[in-house]
Amino acid sequence: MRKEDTVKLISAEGFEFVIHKEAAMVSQTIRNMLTSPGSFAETEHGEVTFPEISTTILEKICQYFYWSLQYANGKETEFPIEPELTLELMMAANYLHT
Amino acid sequence: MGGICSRKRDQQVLEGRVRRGVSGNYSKSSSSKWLGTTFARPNADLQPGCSFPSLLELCIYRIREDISRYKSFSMLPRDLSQQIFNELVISHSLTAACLEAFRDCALQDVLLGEYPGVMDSWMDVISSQGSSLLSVDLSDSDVTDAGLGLLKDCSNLQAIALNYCNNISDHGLKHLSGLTNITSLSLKKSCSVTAEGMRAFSTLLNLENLDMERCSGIHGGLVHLKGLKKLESLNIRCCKCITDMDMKAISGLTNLKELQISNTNVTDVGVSYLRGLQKLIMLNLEGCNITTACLDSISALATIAYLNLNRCHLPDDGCDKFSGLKNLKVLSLAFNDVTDACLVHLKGLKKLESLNLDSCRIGDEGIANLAGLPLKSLELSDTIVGSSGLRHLSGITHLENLNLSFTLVTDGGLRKLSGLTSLRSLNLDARQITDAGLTALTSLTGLTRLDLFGARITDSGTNCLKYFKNLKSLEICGGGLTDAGVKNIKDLVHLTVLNLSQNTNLTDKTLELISGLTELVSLNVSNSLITNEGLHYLKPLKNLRALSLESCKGFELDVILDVAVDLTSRFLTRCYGTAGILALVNTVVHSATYPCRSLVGATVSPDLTTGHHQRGPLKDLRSSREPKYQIEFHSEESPFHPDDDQESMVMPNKNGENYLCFLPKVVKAKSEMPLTQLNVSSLIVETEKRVKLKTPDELLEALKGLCVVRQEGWWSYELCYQKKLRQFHVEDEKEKVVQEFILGVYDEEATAAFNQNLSDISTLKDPRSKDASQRYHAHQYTNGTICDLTNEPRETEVRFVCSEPRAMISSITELSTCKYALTVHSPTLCKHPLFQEERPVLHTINCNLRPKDYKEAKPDKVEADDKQIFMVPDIDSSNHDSDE
Repeated sequence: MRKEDTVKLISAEGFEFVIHKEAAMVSQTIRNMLTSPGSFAETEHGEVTFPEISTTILEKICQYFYWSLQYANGKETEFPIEPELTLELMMAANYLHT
Repeated sequence: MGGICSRKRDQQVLEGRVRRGVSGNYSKSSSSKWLGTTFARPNADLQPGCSFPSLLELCIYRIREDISRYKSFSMLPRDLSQQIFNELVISHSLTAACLEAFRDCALQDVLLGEYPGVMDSWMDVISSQGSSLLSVDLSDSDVTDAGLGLLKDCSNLQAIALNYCNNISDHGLKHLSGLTNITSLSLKKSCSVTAEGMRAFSTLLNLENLDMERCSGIHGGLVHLKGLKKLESLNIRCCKCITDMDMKAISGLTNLKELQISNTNVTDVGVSYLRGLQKLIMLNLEGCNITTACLDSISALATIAYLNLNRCHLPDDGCDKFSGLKNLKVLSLAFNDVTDACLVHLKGLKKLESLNLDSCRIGDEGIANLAGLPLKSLELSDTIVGSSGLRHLSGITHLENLNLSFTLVTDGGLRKLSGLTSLRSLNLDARQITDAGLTALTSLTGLTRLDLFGARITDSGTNCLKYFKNLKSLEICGGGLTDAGVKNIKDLVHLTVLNLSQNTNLTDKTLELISGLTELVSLNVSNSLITNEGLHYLKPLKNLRALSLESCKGFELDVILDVAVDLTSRFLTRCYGTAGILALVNTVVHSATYPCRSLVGATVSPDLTTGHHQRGPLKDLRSSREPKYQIEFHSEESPFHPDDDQESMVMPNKNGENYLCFLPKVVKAKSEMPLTQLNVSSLIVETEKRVKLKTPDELLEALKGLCVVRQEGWWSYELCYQKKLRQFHVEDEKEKVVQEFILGVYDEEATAAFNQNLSDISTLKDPRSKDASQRYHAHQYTNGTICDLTNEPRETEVRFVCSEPRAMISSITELSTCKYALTVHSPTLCKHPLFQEERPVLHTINCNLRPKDYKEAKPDKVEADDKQIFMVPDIDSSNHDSDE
């Protein structure tokens, strides 16, 4: 995939997830960061750091982005959520408007 | 009118009214609606068209599935714990146990109106929300004065609803007097509240909305509202005790914008006290004993815009005063004695947008007076308006809503409506309307709702339907439709409500044809030839929530359930656990209609049958809480052994494991319940052993002087202890008895004779279930209204059984023609040792793990997931560990 079609999401521990921009835009918060006018670092480098989101949770969120795209295209599978992640994931989802 | 033609009319008159600008759920006060209910619960229903569930939603559903894991949510931001709480309430998964996890969560809204099981023990956690708590709805709960007292420290409470709380009295209301931030208070049908209790309101200086509808003891209490200068809305509908003097007490509440005093004892004199309410916008006087003379007083209210004078027996005389009500936007004059002569005086009401003349003696000439009005909504149902009257409507081009049901309008007249292109809703429910009439309306392409319920529309008439591409609701039930006609319905892709009942020739082909109408929410194909096979065509209808198949023959429970489960699987997995399934089971067993959202054990509740026509009053649903169900899971080693005739169904759990579940045999009503007499002699011996035992009759003394009422569909039943049992129907608004049969008068002799043989105690046994037997003590009521069929007076055996918590009629059965059995719950009877043992039964659905499927399901898990339903039993969770 071409670099301009991707975006890098960085977790609290510094792990980097490179995913399609289209997928990341599922999050209203990320969409705003990447598309807001003016030259914010996020817009310019296609990189967003989440100092509050752990690697495990960010990985789950990336999985969700791709899952939701599939779901919208008619592949209606279940999205598995491990019970021990629910509360933390919920807070992150709330922050990301997703 | 009767039978299939009698419909509940929508009397909602207030639309688009000014809503006070308060944000959040707590603003949803019932009193701001014309026909109020309790607080609306936050609604998390899936919106059709939403392409995928949000991660937040998925997390919430996941939490709900194994809620017992969570000990506390207090570490979450409060808006998130609020969302979890709301989800649990909506899905009916909140229990006393999991409520504990919400202690100190700073919740703002605790809306538990009509939620089962709410009682004082819940109040501790509720009050722990402290100063965060803004709104509480405890309507229809068992909370008492003591429980209410715990809210004392929730000092920021703005809205409290305590409707139908029988255990709350004057004493409890005292606790509210310090909650001075309350803006909205709702106490519908609080029968023990009196004028004395209302004293507590005098300190609630911020009160804006007060709802005391159906409080029967508040006469004289309104004086305590005198200082409430912010009060905007007061609802005391159906408070029979309210008189003219009470109106005097509120005459100084000059901030009032909305006043509902319908069905009270207020007369013209009372209305005259309201002259000073110069901000009053809405006044509801329906069913009051007033004359047109009160229009003088109403004319003094310069701002009045919404006026309801339904059912006031108003004559034409004095109607000239209507001409002074220049600001009227909405006027309801339904069920009055007014004629065309009255309408002359409405000519000058240049702001009138909505006029209800239902069942008035209005004819064609009268309609001429409406021609110049800016009407958007006109209700002419049951008038004598005919085709020639319609020409006067042709100029009212803003008309959006027109009801011509049961008028004299014929096909020829409908041509005059062809220019009313703003029309959105049109009701032509009348037998004389045929295909020809429909042909004249093809220009009305904006129609979203078309009601041709009784019209004689045939297949050829349906060709016109292609012009109504925007239809969302369509009813054609005149009997003339066949599958060929349904072809023209299949392209109306926006339909959400489709009623094709009474068309007895429709076959499975119909369902095949409409299988593309994926927006359908409600479908009625009752009284048709549709079979099991046809139901499979409904599977693509993912939004379907109500399906009515009444009087369709030969359905197998399994097939209906299979389709139901398939249709709604996504919905079920997201919105409910056990409750959803049980509702399905229950409803299918009882009526072959399945709504998808329901309470545990509820049969049909009105919000379930979205857009579904109720053909009779369905008001008091509080009795629908029973019966209760539970699911018991049985292991392979010790399976449940069903009776031969027990119906069963396969239900997979969330791990794809299939269970074969046996439905309890709870077919009530109609089926006669033969009584097996107990071994009388042994009972006598047993009773004699106890000295000074109170007899059942002595225990029942507590009921002396009391009457208990139960509403069941059209009929209400009232038993006045040792006096009379009657069956009656009350007209909705007026609460006037319009039909009445005496089912028996207490017969001491017959009772004595009956009990002599039985030593006071009999046993009610349902042969279809070994658990469902209950001892009762019987009283005989004889000499009722003569029965047409037998020419004998009606008679009834009243059976008292031990049951907490309060005296109530639990069922009525016709044993044979005009001979009835009425079962009454009586808590006092439980003091008797012989009744004590008999507690009401919790019906059990027994589920056996199916060993074979179990093995098959494992490797092929993805497929199983598509159809999954999560079963979350209240008691037993050992059968499905959450880890996958």
